Amino acid sequence: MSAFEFLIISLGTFGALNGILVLGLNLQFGTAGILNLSYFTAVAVSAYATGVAELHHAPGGLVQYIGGFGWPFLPSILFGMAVGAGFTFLLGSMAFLRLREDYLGLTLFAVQAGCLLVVTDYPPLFDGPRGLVGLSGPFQSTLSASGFQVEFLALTVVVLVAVLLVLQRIDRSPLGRIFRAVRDDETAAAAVGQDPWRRKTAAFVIGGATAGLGGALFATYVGGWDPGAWQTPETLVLLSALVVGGRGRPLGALLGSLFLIEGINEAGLWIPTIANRPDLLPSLQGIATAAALFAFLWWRPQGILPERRERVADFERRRRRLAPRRVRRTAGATEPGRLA
Amino acid sequence: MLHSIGFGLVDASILAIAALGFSLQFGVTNYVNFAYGAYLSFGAYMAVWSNSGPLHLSIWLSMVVAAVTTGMFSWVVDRGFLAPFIRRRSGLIFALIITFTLSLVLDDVYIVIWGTTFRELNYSAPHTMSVGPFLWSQYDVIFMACSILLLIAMMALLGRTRLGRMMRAMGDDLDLARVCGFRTRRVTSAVAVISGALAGLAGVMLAIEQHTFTTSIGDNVLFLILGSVILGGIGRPAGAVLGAILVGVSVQVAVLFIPAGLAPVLVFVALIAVMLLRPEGLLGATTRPAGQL
Repeated sequence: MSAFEFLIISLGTFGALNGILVLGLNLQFGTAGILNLSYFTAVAVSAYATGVAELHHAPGGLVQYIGGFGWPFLPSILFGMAVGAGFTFLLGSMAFLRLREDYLGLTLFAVQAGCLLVVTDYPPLFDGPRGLVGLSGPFQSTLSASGFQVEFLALTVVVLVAVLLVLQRIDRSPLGRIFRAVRDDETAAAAVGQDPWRRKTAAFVIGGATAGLGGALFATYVGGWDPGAWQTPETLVLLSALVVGGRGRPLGALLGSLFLIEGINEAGLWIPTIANRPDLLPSLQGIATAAALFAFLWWRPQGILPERRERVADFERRRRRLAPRRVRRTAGATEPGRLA
Repeated sequence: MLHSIGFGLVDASILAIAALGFSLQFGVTNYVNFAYGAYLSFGAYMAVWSNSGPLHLSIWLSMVVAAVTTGMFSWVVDRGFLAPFIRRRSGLIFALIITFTLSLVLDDVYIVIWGTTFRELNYSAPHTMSVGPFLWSQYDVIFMACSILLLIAMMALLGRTRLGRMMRAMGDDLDLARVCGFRTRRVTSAVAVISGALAGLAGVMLAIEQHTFTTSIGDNVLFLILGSVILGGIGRPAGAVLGAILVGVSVQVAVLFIPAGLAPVLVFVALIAVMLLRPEGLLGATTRPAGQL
């Protein structure tokens, strides 16, 4: 496989992985209105969980981490997802009890900052700044390097399509409508019998499970996971993709991730090192991402593909599908109280 | 143990100054300014520029320069960027996204301008003195004195001046304050300057405390600042300082008993507990931010 082919394939894989992640955030923020600044922490939790499930026991000495079960690929992924969803559930259920809007944003931000601090400075958990290494994807040992790349690309694309279909289904279902109702007017939703806490937690957890899936796949693809992979700006990248592409619409979110994340990443590959400062490029990419976010927030906050507004025609169509019109009786049939 | 409390009090003083500014901003404008950590970093780098740069000012003058320039910077950002954005897209969620993005943009801009090398300030070496049971350097004592003075100044500002009264009114009910004829944009600008200056000052103190630092110096303490402010109660200067003392001292003391890396967990747990049990903080918040149920 030539370097160019490798580039294209890995871009595609990263694109699919980012797509999965953005879809999860879209459910939490776009549909349910929860600004989750700690989204990438859930991704990291799952990545680490997958790692400690897949790796064997810590060899000791300088390398230390908890767990180390030595499981194969699939159980590790599922374990990672479950831990990620569990973490999200714990966090969400506590936070939504008493907090709204800015205090919620503050708390989630603090959670993300605190987790980073703890994991980085306390090596016994996940080997601190070094992180976990040596993770592998399915059948990686039996495939060639290029074969593995192709296989993982296929895997992530399949998973992406599956996640997209599932989340679109949720988005268009009554559950999706309930999420949007709670987002738009919590008091009104509560007044008609929806429990905001339950609904928000549900959306949060489904999004968290998606984050977990993405994180688990990410970690096994790159072969490791360390604090550098989940710094604070990571959530911003996903958020920008969401706002640019279309908040609340899964396809829009995916579009945003393709244009913005892949676009900026790819643009970075073509720019030569500027002024002998290799650290400049990531910062410029960050500024570009933020600039796109600001631009869209200023001029078009709904994004490129806005959320579908339900129209009367949609409602009518649904009503007809669920309750087909019965054949009217011909005029003159006996009906008490009816004039001719 | 007593030494740890002493060190904790020094940390607490720096945190307190930062927390005073943050609490003021949050209490008056009712949105979280995540970019506050970036203002701290700005102050530290302004001190580097005036101290080690062409001007070669003494460290004390550099602190003043840092405070003043950061206040101005904060004013420019508020007037030119934050305020127009929040006017155009009002709503708490937007304000959060915008300030969060702003903090990360500023971080990137700092790297572009100043690079990622570690910086140092030029100052005469600290000599440690025994003050009672504590071990403090002359810088530590000055920092603590500053924080006490600034606390008194802040309480006087909010409690006894007309500007302070307008700030408190805006924090309670922005529309009503406008109806009463208060020039809310001016007050917001004033808040930006004051909180920016406090952030700049705290940033320099932090830089002195840590000896070497990079552009992320402010963001690293933002977590502790948030903890202090929420613990003590939004909008109350005394609350911010109380929270800072609790956080600063407990982190230093906790290091004696638990591994150093786990100290943030303490702040973490305290934060979650406060959020769930008493979101208005220990001393009670002066405003009811939208976040409370």
